[in-house]
Amino acid sequence: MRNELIKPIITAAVLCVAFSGCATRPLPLYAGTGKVDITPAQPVISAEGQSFRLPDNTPPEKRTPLGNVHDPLYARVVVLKNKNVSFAIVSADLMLFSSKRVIDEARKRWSIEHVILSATHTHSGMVPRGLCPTAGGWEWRSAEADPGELLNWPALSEDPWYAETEDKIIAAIGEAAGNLFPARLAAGKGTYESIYLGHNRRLIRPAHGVVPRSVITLWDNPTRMPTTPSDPTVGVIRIEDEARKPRAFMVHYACHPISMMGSSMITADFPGAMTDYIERQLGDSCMAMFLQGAAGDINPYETNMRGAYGLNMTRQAGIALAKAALGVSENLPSPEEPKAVVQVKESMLDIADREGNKSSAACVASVVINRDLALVAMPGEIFVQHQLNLSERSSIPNTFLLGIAYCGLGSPFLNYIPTAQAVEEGGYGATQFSFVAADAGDRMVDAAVAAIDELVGE
Amino acid sequence: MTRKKKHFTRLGFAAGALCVLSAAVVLAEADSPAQPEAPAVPAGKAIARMRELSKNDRWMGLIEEFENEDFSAWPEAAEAFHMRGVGYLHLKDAPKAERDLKEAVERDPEEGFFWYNLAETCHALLKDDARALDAYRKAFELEDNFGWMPAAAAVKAVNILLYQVRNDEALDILRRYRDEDMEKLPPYWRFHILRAYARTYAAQGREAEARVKFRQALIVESTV
Repeated sequence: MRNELIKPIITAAVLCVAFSGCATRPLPLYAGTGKVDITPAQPVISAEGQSFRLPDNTPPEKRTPLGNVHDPLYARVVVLKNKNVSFAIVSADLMLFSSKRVIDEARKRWSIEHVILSATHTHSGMVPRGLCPTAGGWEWRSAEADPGELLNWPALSEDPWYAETEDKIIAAIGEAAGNLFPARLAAGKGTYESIYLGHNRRLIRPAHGVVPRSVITLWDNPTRMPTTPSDPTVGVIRIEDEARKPRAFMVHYACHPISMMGSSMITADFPGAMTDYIERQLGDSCMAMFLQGAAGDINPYETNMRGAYGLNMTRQAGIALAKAALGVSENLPSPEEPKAVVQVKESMLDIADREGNKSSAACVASVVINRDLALVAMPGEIFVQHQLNLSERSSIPNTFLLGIAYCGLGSPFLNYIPTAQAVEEGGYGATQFSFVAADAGDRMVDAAVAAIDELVGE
Repeated sequence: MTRKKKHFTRLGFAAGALCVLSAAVVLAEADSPAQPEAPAVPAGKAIARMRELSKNDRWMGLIEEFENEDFSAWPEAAEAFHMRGVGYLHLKDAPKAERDLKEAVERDPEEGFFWYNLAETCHALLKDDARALDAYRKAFELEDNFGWMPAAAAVKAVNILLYQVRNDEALDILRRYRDEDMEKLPPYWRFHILRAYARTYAAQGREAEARVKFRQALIVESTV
């Protein structure tokens, strides 16, 4: 499969496989947006409430009712292009979306060199068929190889819904690439302590007497007890046209969208409410987009909610995040000229398995714009400490780590990427549902920092 | 109807959870000291026995002893129906709990504790939130003080209202508990009320106010 093609070329720990946008002189920047509804016509998800795509022969009583679409799922696209480089970022309201076909087609049909597919990770969207390694499980640790090896990713397209979704996203990239406008890009960030989102769900109980240290998974935290680490940072990327009218508004934040998980309802969760609010505030000509951060251990304070209460709280969470992002944007000056230096580097890493007897190929894609904004894509559920480390170490003031993001190379999904400390502590996401070496996240951050330094010439 | 003056001993109320089957409300004295002694009738001994069993949370024993008792002629019939109803509530016997507690509130509709336990039955056993909400409201309104029962009724009514996205009504209930009155509440109920405020503000999208209340609740809770 795909990894067999890649492995022979991975001879060093880090290998630059793609490098573009070498010019450091700002060039006229063009941007385009695309937005497409990817809500399944028949939301055939489990009647038990999980959003897994079921086989076609699943009896009706085991499917979620057709009317259970609360709000539509979208894929949103921003294309950035100058003379030297073209780049598309896609944010899909899905738990995971790692389609090599989309990236290949974008390159072939729309001449987009680099594509990052980022999933919002809503657990009330759709999980493509066949993503679980074994009967219904996500535990890859005992699997023979990583998901890139074991899963038949091209076969996901055999599911008509998945193929249709891929087609729609390819078309949306084309729409964005075909409607470019001179663009001014501004980026910034601010502190936002949400009362709805963003607590660390791993509660470490220190050893006490003969009772050893333990890790409790704090799925919910209704009292809003402070937990660490977390990253109360909201990142904003605003793209304006020549008339300084906002045309795209991207919000980066780290939190699992699991507010309505298991409710048998299709919803984009708080990212959907956030984008909806921003689009209403900024007008139809502006497309909002959510960029999921390193949310591997970050939850909303209330999860698995139900009914009108859950939907209201999810909406309030999204609106509050939107307001925080709009607040950050208010202080962002509009760039003088619609020009930018855009640089992209895709770094391949050979990541050892936790047991050290197999390995995975991981691609870390780094996009640097104007030495002011860096987007770093990693294909897994990254623990938030890595995001904090990357922000601290990066020479770019606005460095945003995108988790669950795939750039077309290496493994499409590496499951949880904990910290070495978390692996030592154990628990969900660290020793459960995580198969990569304990230093995998550190190495990916190292690779990103090195790539950013290289791109900015340090 | 003139409301009778009663003194209540509040036992073992573990609140906060949705499923509240631990409400123990025991009538310690039936009448005010100013009233004449009740005649020495067998019911007098029986009601004392019921109070003793209630006080000690011996709900199974209470039911076994008084399951077939007809309280209708007792001077303290409302109290007796209430105690047996609470017994059934503890034993999760919904129909009998409802029957006895309805009888209690019909006989003494001015007694907030009777309404409270009827609300508990409707909410926890019958899953009838509409009736539970009415009964919690009644209990809350009848006990116009800063004791645990109206606080518990308020928290539970707020919870139901938030689940129905009747957020403004939830806030209306909480208005009894102004900032300057919070100290009048027992700490255990103070943090529950603060958290009810916080959740209501959160549901209304008033994030800054919710944040303050959540923090205050954590501080008070840490002292309990």
